[in-house]
Amino acid sequence: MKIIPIALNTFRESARDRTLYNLALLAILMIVASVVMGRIAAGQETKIIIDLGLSAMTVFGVLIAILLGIGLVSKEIENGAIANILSKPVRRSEFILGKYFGLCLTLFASVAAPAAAIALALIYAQDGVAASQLRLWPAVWLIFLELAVITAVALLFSCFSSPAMSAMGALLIFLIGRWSPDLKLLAETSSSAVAQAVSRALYHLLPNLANFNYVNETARGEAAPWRMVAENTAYAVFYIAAMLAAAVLIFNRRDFK
Amino acid sequence: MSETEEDRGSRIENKSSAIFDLQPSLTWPILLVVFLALSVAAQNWMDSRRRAPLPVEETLYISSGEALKRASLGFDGLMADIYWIRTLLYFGGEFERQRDANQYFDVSRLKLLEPLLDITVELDPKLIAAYRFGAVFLPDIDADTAVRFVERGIRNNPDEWRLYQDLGFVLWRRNRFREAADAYARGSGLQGAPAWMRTMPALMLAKGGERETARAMFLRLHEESDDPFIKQVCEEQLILLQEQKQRPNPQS
Repeated sequence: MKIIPIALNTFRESARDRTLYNLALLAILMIVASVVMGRIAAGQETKIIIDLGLSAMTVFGVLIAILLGIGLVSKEIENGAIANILSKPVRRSEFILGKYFGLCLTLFASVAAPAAAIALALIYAQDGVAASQLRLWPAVWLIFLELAVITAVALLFSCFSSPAMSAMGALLIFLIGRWSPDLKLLAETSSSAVAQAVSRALYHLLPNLANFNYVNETARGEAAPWRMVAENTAYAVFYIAAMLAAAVLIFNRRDFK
Repeated sequence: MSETEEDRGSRIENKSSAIFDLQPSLTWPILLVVFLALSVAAQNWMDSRRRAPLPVEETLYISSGEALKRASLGFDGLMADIYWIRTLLYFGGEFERQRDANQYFDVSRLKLLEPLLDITVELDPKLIAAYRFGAVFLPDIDADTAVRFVERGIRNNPDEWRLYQDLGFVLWRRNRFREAADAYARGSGLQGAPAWMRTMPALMLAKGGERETARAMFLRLHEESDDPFIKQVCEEQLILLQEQKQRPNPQS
């Protein structure tokens, strides 16, 4: 199995990317700003730190996932390295899976750093460690799952499209994915049978990213139920597997000669 | 560089051992379908368990239409459309929620209706549908707010006779017949105003509080409106008036 060496190499490569550091730094700056803003909003400090912190982590995480995800395959194709890699005893599926898991490692690191910053901000705001701070972590895990899904979508686009088009496509999927409950509502309330069918199909084919958004509830003081986290993890795994299968399917048919 | 015997051997070995490559043309499409089906099943499972959401009150995060206008970077028309749709979704959602709870639909409980409409027309002062919607439903929340809202619509769209009709309607519901007559008189002189608008001032002044006037008011509104919610309210009111008419008068 060549997946692990490819993943580690991808992680090392993306860790050298300056975009990652700039975005992670911006996310951490936002979290620091949330502490200041929390001081202004009397009595709502914890809520604002979690709200702003997790939202910043999501937005910058999505940017990292898309900007790095779209270059995973297309960059190798553009600089001609793909032919060299595939001339070695590496299957195309291993290449795709290795690339994906490598970027997931990067994403994990880019989520862990701001999450640690939020945890520190909460400790500072609440003058010490409190059990209620633990509710942060299920929400962070859900954000990581969302980013992993977006990365899989970006990777799929990257297999057949230019980087610019891939970025646009992945961003659109992110936006529609966040509005997924509205698609369901449209499917349930529309009087047109065609609109109902199209909305229902889109609702199931596109990722339901609203599943992973537990920021508001966490900020309000609710911990994500473990069962919900487990269900969302299963959903993410299935959806990512489907996207990777589609990516491999397309990548297998491409001719790089 | 040519491939060595060792590389070729390794590749053959890898191919033969890999489960993924047993049928390369079929494996990945099958995996795609299977995992997509599993993700659909997982989503349906989560949806079925999410039937009873916690009663979290809707929140308006940005309450200033002016701030939104600046933030929209010139896309205020699009932003107004989004807020208009959000208003209708909020209204429809509350309607469904109250109906599911077997409650009489009480518009006065829709606390976000006024700010949502306010933002919508701040973003697009020419969105007549929003003013007309407010004219019918805001009086149940606060009649004076409703009057101010429709008057604002008239200031922004002085040539729109329908808004004078709406202002007359709001004022009539508050039993302010003289002001209602004035609103109808002002609107009846505008281009496009139908002939019946000219008869309304006299009707307001002579028979403002009578049942037949109410019937005429709701009938006109029903004819002039394209909004299904407004039409539904008018139909309900007309049925109510008909029932009252058929009921024997206890004094006779």
